[in-house]
Amino acid sequence: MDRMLNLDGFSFAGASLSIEAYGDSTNGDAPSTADTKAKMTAILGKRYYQQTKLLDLSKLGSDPDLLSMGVFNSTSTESKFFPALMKVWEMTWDSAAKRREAVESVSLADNQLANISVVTTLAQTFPDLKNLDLSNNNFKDSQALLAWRWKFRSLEFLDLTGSPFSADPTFKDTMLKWYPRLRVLNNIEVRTAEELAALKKTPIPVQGPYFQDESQIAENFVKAFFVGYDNDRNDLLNGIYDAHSVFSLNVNPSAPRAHQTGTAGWDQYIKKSRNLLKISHLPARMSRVFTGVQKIREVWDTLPKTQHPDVLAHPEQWLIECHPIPGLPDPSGQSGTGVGGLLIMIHGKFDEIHSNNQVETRSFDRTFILGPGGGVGGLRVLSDVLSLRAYGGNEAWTLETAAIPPPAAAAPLAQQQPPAPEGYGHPAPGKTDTQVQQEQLVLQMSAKTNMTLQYSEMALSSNGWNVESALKNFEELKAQGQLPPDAFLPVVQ
Amino acid sequence: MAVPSEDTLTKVSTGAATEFVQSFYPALQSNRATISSFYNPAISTILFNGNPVADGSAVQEIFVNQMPPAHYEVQSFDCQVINRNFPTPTAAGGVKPLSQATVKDMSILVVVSGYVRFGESKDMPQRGFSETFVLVPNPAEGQKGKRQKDWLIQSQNFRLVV
Repeated sequence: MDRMLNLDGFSFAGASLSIEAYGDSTNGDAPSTADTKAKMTAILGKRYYQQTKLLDLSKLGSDPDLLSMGVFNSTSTESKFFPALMKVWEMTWDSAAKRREAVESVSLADNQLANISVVTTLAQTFPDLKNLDLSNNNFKDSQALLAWRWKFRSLEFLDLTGSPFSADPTFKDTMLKWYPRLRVLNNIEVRTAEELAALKKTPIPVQGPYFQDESQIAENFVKAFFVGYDNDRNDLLNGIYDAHSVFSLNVNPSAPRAHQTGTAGWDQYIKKSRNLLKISHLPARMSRVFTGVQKIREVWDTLPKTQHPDVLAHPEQWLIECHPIPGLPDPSGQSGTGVGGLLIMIHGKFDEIHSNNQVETRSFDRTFILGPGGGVGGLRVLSDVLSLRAYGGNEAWTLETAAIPPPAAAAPLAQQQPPAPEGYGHPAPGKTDTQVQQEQLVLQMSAKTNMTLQYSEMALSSNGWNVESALKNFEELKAQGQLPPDAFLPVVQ
Repeated sequence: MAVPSEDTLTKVSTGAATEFVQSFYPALQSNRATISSFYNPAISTILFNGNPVADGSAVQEIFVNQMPPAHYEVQSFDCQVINRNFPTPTAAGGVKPLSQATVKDMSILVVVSGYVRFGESKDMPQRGFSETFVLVPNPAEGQKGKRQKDWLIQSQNFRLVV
């Protein structure tokens, strides 16, 4: 926020914004489009602070470069300048993701704006803006800002000081209502971090993945599946799908998303989508479900090439859950009561790589049922349901960190657990059972000795993972004063 | 029973999934006292954001006593037949013999994608969710004049994903 406050204190030259029709070469005197673009790029370069991710568009009326371009010589085409500037900014970046990352803050301070009609395209170019300085303008009421009512859904900081609207009795409530993440309005905190966290908090606490595997079947399947799906779908089909495997996909085109930046269309999927809300006729419902290796191969061949993040290298980008289920059809036909299998539910993202090297990131949910069969490992995929939606990030399943201190009563309990990285001591794809057991022993050791996880692990591994002998060894070394201070966790007050 | 055609299997399964989705989410929203009636007596696994819940009456208890008002919007859903000869249990403790089974003795995988808004205000954020159900045939004998659900939840996994 400080970087926004730093912008205050400049005096506004008072030149009114009036813009020449440059970029429009019908006039013989007008500079060429390329020339205008180059000048605008230079101006944006001077006003962009990469480190603080700030684009400072304040006091445009007194910008000597803009003045020398003759931007303010005529009022007739005032509406064209700002959209052109935004267009040039967008063209500076080769990917939507880079553009999104580049700017968190924009200042439009000291521009004598009475409403936002001239600058409204700011919301299209910077939909995920966090900080917006509109101070020292001339907005009379909420009506003057209404076009941004549903924009900037991530806005945390808004400065409207110096506008008559700020004195309106409804000002604060209106802005709080418009912007659900707003924290600071006119340099005053209007929502605390706790209040914001409470807004985001779900009534159902978010826990780590529930992963009840059997002999690492699901773990190995998930690790192999997405590598196979990205690199050799045919091989995957031959390995673990059979004549009874069923695949279908459905597109949720209006799912909530992480960024408001538009996503590419769903053209390559929509004709296969079996969203039963939309697909109501029986023939379409039948033709959009694919049974058997051959049919599934045909549909997979039409789907875009994908790149999923590595499960082991980027575990945070995945949420993988699994549990056994009974009552599956017995491939041998012998069991009248059905056989057991695994239900696996995966949430994550993938990149779609297009021929023009454009990359589109999407989120997906994929549910599998695995049962005994004639494929690799004596398994087969019975069901494979793929749901596709716009990129929604991984924040929803990230465990809440200690941003909010636990209530005092809970503190002694909290202290029993040494601080450990997320997922430590819990099963996860890529971790062997031995690893999980060892991590749990390390946690136990650490809780008993108050040593760090690293030292606890050293103590255990040098004692053959026997907790008792490791504890005995620890007491001896401690008594002899042989343990360095950094072997211990910081003392909790 | 006669082996049902693919037409019939698709019609019955998608019909069952549609009816389930269109009655279950409204019940979570405004008819919470009926929630337990959606669950099979024999439960495999019920999960909400990674929290295991024991059975249908525990789910109902949570929604009645702990959950604020919520608005669910199903935006997409799909289903697949899992076992077209599901071993439906009988009152006697056995399994319904194949000779008495009907096309409705199938288990169905239902996958839902949508959003939920917790709290009454429309200004609360829309949270994307993904939910997977396994529906199994209702083992209860139908009573005359009383309409009962043909399929019940055996497994459920709700996850906020956005």
